[in-house]
Amino acid sequence: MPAEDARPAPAPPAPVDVQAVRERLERCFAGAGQGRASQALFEILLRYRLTRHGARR
Amino acid sequence: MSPDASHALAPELLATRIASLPALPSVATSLLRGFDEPDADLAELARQIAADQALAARALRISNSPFYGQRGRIDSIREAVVVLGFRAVRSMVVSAAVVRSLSAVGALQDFDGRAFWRHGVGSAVAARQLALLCGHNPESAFTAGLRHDVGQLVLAVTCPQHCAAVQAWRSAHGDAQTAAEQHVLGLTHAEAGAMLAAHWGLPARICAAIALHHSSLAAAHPLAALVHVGDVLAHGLGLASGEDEAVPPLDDAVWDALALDSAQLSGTLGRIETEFEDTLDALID
Repeated sequence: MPAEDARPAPAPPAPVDVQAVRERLERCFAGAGQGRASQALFEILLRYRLTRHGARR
Repeated sequence: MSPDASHALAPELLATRIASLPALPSVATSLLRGFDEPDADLAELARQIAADQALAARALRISNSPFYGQRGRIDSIREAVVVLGFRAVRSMVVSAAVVRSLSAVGALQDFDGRAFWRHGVGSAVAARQLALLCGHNPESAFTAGLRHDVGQLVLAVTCPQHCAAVQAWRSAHGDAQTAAEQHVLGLTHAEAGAMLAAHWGLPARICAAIALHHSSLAAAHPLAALVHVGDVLAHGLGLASGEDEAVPPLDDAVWDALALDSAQLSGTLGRIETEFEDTLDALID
């Protein structure tokens, strides 16, 4: 049997902890105020971080 | 709010100290003088750039960075001007000149030079990508973004005791940098940076972008608006020191003035991160 076939299958990726990612970004935005623009950017960056963390799993 | 009288910083004193800082290389001054001249003598400017070998070498290194897709194919300033355009080369040379002049002040106590330059490059790259989305000049945005926080370095070099008082105030009260500067010094790093930019003879709109990068007034100045949002975006992406960077307020009026499309902006974030790493490697030792 070829060596490649003997390798164990990779472990399934751990799920992204959405709440942890959100809370970490909320701490970054703690001094950004509650303005509409800051909130919009928060949501854009949150989606980006979730995608990026997902891609790195 | 009136400043803390014991550490208030008179603009006249700051101006005197700024005058003692390293000057820009002469080639950068020449390039800036013709910043808005559409009919500049490109051959002459290319010759001047090439005459400053250290700056020319740095500009070629940036020209050959992955961002411009020319890996190792450009081996002269003249060729860089032809292939990449004069504005891009000028931006590289002036940026390299600013880095060189400011690096000449040496290491400073209680000032994180690495994070300073990483944030400058990050904001510059973000402002350039935003300019591309909004139809503004991307190289001007890069040039302004790179030096938008130069006032922080100015204050650290010229008035270290005042800076220590600002940091002590922040630690005690949890204020944002600009608010603490205004309270303790009576002026902010944005104003200090604009004073240096004016002293160096940078174009008026770059001086304005530096002066207004934390102000709602940036909404009326496209370059300042790009720098304001680029600055906040660079912090949000954690380009200076990682994902826990504090994000400053994003002004509603400035955000509205750029009329950014959220989907397009989302699609740009990955490019900003990639371009940031490439540019940092090429521009900063």
